[in-house]
Amino acid sequence: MTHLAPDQRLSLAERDPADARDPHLARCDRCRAEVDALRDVLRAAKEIEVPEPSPLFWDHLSHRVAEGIRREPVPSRGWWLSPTWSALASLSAAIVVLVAISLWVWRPGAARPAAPSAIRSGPEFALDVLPVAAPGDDEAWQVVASLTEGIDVDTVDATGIGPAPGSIEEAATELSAVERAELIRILRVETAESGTEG
Amino acid sequence: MPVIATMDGAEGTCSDRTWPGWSVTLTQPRADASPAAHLETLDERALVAACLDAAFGAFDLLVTRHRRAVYQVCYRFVGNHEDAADLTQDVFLRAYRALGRFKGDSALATWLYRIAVNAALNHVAGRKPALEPLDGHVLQTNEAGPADRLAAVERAIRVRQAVARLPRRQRATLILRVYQDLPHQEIARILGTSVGAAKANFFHALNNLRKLLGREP
Repeated sequence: MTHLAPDQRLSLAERDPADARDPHLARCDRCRAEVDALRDVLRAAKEIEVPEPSPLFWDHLSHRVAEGIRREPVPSRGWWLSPTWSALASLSAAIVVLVAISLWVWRPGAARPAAPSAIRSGPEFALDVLPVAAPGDDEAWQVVASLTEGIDVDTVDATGIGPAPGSIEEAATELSAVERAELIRILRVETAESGTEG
Repeated sequence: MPVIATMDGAEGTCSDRTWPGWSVTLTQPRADASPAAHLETLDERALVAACLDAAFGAFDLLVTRHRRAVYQVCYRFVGNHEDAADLTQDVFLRAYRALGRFKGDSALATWLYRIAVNAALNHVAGRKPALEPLDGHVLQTNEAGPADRLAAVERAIRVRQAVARLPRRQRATLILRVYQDLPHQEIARILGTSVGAAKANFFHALNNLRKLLGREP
């Protein structure tokens, strides 16, 4: 005969005997004795109450606690509740999304947009087919825009993660479409070469 | 135009009068206008936020709401009033310092229990419990006669000593389940364990109690 598992015995012992009818218990002396013993111990444990302190004790306790916290600084809010950290978290999420999208778009083997012919180093590049999506049409841009819409420029600058004056990132933001396409082409060539060497 | 708000005296009348260059409003203080009165209506999260904003009386109210339950848990661990009172004070001070880390993803009582259990387990670690002598009024028993009552007290002393000898986590589980009547899910959350482990702890606690009391079937 399969006996009741410990959690089944525990569950039956915790219930009122009248509500704890189980077909197995009715025919298994061993399980019934186990459940009865657990119930007996539970009953014995429940008999002990905490003595009620003097009625004056509670106010005295509150007073002691109040005295104690008077010497303490006001607790600070969790960093996740701070507006600055909330903004940073949104910004970080946006950057992660942007990086992920870039990696996906430029993953090895992905279909590449053609480079502009005007600045080509090979015949396969054509400026007129370079997909430079307007922000409003690009789903990736929409995701980024929705994540960052509550963040102003000052917040970005304050975090120190915006492009620094004179930095490569800032220069990249000022490239024309043609210059961007050429930069992309150069990066692709460099990436392909370093991949071959590696 | 400057506005002065002040209280009328004992009669409790209200009136509005305009003086040249001044608007003076005389009002009687409302019955619930004590600094902490509006706090009474706050739920737990709002009360915690009020504490973090250093609202006068907010933490006092939090203590008032939870002091009995915290004291009882502490008493169950240490077994005497003096230590339980000190420990309860310590729990609330720890809670105050950590209040900014309360995220509100569990009930405030659960969070306080967690602090209390950790503080109590640290307190009793390696110490012999200084259990107060029991008298009849701490027993929930229906024994009427003196002999029966004496037997009940003796039985309670043995149970209390046996509970004090349980392994710490089993003891914590038993206290939270039997005396605080918390569901296993809540106990698991307080002890930072799974529900299955909490149930297993409770089962082992009862079996060990049985052995310690010599009630093997």
